[in-house]
Amino acid sequence: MTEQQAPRALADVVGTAVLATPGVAFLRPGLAELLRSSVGLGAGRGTSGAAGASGVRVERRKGAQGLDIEVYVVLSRGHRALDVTRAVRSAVVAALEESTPGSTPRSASARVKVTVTGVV
Amino acid sequence: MAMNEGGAPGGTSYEDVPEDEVLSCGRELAQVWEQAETGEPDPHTAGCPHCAEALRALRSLEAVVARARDDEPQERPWDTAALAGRVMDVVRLELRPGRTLPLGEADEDAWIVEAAAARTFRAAVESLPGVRAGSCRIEADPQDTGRPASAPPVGWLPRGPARVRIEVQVGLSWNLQLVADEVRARIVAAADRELGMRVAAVDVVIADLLDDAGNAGNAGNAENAENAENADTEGRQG
Repeated sequence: MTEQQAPRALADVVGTAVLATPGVAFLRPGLAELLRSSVGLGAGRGTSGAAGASGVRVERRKGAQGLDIEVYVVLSRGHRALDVTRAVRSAVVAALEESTPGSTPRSASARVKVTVTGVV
Repeated sequence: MAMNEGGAPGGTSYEDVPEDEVLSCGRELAQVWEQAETGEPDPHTAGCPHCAEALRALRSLEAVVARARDDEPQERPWDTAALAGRVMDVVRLELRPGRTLPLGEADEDAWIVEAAAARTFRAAVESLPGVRAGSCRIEADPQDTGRPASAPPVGWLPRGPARVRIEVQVGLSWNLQLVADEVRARIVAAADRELGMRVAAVDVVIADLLDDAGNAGNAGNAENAENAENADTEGRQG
């Protein structure tokens, strides 16, 4: 895995772990972005820019070792939101550790932010 | 008294969040969608290519939802119409998420968008008989002094307990102080059991009275209306 490929591949690892977490209905679909592009509004207009179309964002921390991971999820009804976010964080950490067997786990220096964007 | 003055779905208003998506004709995307869903004719939309394109995108999305519904295994006891409606709600939440609120303890990094939390609170309040929920606003508690020194990003509340302000319409049979207490209790319970959000205080505004048929505005006499205005009550937790 090259350095350039790493964040995207890690996002896939993280996304898979998140979707397997009980209480998660789906990742934020980014439908607003899709519609924005389909109606010619231009990417990023009308948003803070902090939230892209994807439900998972992985970035290498600038000037330091480690990863900043942001996860945006839509939950299924009947699950306590805080409990699901904690389970999501645990699942992400476990997935990162499994993705780097025999070396320093990425999870050791990963910051995981989980945001609930809806409930269905 | 009109409810939902802010124009946001469900009545949540967001003064300090980015503007909504605006089409080239000047109309907001969400407004065009909501107008189309009412089924009422709109002369502007009928002749506007930008609105037409926005509605075409909406119909495409609805078709995707319909196909997904058709693909759903029939043995699952889904209320598919309700599910499709909730998926569309998710789309609306993406357009108007409001601010982002903390979940859990101060040292955690868990969050929820204001619109989703407000929807949970409104549903909890409307489980009371004869009570309708209106605008729901969730703020940082100004009396919380234990926050970190660094300011949160724009649109994100500082980590700490929240303060909820909700407007309700209530039936004439309710004692106003009692219903305010019940509303407060439902919100505190929902915040704990359904969200995991710390709530420091709940402000309840009795915005209107409902007659037996559930109509607002002319339900009571002048004295009742005055009492309703004066029933803006505050309750601080723990």
